[in-house]
Amino acid sequence: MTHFQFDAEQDALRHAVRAFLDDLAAAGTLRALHDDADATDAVWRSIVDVGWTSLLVPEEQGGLGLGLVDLVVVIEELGKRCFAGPYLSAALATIALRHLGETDRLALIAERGWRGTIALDELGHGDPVERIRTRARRRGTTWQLTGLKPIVLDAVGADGVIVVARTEAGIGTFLIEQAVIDEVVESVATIDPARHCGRLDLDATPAIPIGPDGDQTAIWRRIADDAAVVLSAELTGVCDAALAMAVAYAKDRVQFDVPLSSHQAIQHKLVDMLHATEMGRVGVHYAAWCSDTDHDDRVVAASIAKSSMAEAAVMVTSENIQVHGAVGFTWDSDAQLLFKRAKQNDLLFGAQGWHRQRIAEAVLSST
Amino acid sequence: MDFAPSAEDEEFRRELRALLDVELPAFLEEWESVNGDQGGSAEGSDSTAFERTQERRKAWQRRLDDGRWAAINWPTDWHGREATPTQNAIYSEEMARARVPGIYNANGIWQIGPMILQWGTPEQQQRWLPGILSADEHWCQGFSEPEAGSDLANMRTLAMLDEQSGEYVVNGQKTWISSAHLAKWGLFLLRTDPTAIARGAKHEGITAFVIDMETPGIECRPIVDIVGETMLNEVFFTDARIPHDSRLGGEDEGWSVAMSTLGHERVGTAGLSIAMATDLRALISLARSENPDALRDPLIMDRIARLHSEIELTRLLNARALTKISRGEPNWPEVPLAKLQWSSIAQTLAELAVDLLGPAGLFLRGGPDAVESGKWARNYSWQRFTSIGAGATEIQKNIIAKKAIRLVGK
Repeated sequence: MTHFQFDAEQDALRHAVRAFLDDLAAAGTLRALHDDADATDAVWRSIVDVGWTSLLVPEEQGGLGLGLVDLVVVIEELGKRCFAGPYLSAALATIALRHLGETDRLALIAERGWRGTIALDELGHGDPVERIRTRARRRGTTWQLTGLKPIVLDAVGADGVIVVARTEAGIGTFLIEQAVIDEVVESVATIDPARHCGRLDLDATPAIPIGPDGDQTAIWRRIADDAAVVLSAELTGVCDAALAMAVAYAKDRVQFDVPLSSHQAIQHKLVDMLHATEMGRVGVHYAAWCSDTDHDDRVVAASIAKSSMAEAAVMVTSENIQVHGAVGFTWDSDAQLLFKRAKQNDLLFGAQGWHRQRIAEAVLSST
Repeated sequence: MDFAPSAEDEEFRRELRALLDVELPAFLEEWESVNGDQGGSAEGSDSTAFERTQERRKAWQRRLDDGRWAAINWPTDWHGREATPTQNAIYSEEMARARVPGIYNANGIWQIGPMILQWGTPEQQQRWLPGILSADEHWCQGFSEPEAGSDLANMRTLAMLDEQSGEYVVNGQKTWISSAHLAKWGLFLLRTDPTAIARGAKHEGITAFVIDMETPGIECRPIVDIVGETMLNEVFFTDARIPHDSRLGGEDEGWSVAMSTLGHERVGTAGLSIAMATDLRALISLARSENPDALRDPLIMDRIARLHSEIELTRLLNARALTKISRGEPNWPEVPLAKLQWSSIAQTLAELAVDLLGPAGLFLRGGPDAVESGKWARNYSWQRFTSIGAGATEIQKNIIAKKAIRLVGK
């Protein structure tokens, strides 16, 4: 029987994450995370303590052995709050380590909350794996990386950065550990004030090769697909929050003696927002399920999720600002955070246009 | 999450597929001479083809009914299967996959029949249901009036009870009635309490009737539609006298009766995603031979990607709706959104089709350069219907908005 809905345990997980974030919000910690490193460390420790960092770690390595569908539940809730802590980036690192078969490192995540992040994206247009230019060269027994990773989520303060680079064999993976990270990373301001981004300027930087020997292009395509789904799930939460804000404000705000929500122009705008959100949502949930089950639809489902959800999020968060009028134009309003997160996620791990190209190519090659 | 069907549903699908695998090719071979299952035309030369299309629709409906596959939602006593929502989805998917021809009484089987089953007396059921099922009698449905379109409850066609004879006397005009000129019976909503509109209670005072279209005082006038066909009609009533027992449900209960049928229009759309995906693939294949350069246009590629995504997302929206329905949860917001999705996908596909074919997409049936008998050229205009019929997109948005706004803060 088709059951396209979360199960009771996943619902319970969602409620737990929601309660956790409500507490942080009540304590004023959510905004503090934007620029307070101590608050970031503290919140990371408390997430480790609850066990959510081990969600994707296989049971053999001491984790919960859950999948992308479960992760989506957590990420959606974090997205609603534009969470500034390092959870999403660490989850992507866990996914990467799983696909690379790095069991020892996975065990470290479960044991003591080892916090990683991945450095895939580089400047440029199109396929995020294709456009990697960072080089890895062997120097005797060690490897050195040279190139620019301009936007690495939560790189500052990470225990390790998983860098994707070109080798003579094709694509390879290299781990930069904490002591070295500090030498090559600098904090970089992006459009999104609620996400810490680091810039890695690599110049013969020593790194440890990880994952299987030979070309890892296929593995990184898979990781990039999964990452696209995770970023999309965050945008599902972002859209939920933007829509909820817009509807609440439209009901509340009175002009010309009537609530904004009584105007058809506003009503139809809200319906368009709801519509786009719901279409994106089912795509994200399906893409996560396809990844967990290695379904034939997996690749196209990931691209549909990313392109639809990103396009929806840009529209929904923009319209939320519009509904709020000048209030939506202020720094204090969460509308700005949602709006900026939407575009940030759109452009990372393949922009919507590239994902649609991939969909079109898949459709054409199957007919 | 799980997309695996239950054993019972799988059996339902297997049985239906077995029938379609065997019966459909044989049926199509028998009727091969009948091409182009399109609506009627004012042109005399097409009238024979039209007649044969109607005969084929009758035959196909009867063939389905032989295996109890024509009216799956009807009770088993009425040769139905009392199908579950999931089975409705399977049915719709399999019929789309097999690209089955149309049936003669789709409206009667999917909308009017269930209403007669719900509201009709046993005598009324005996009188009307067999003819619907056997395709011996065609049915139409008349709700809209010139002043009652989106504002449907504003209907004014009067049915006044003649106390002496016990008959109702009907006067007024209905419009946009599909195939009224072919119908033996019509389901109509008529106003029995003319004071209701003045009282500001226009949903009250409406009554449902089943009317014999051969009754004196009823006149059908064809409306030539956007593609030049004449399936739509205006129906004029001038002192038409209809028997007392043609009333379906109680006097002034008509709005509830009508709403129960409009609900059925939303059921069984699951197959649309398969039909549309099949159409998209067929179009791409057609473009490869007719207009291959179109497939090198990046804007066309982007539209193909978007359309494929929307078709796929709508399939998933239906799966989510079905899950909620089968768990007894409110089918919000998936079901109301699905109507918007289908309208927009059907129109997007129609527009993409002619652009994929280029100038060849402009030629109508019969022209020397027409592609696939001009069906995509016809479809380009025809699909404007989908955002107007069964509730205009804007009305649907009004309904969704009111609910979405009401739900916040609860």
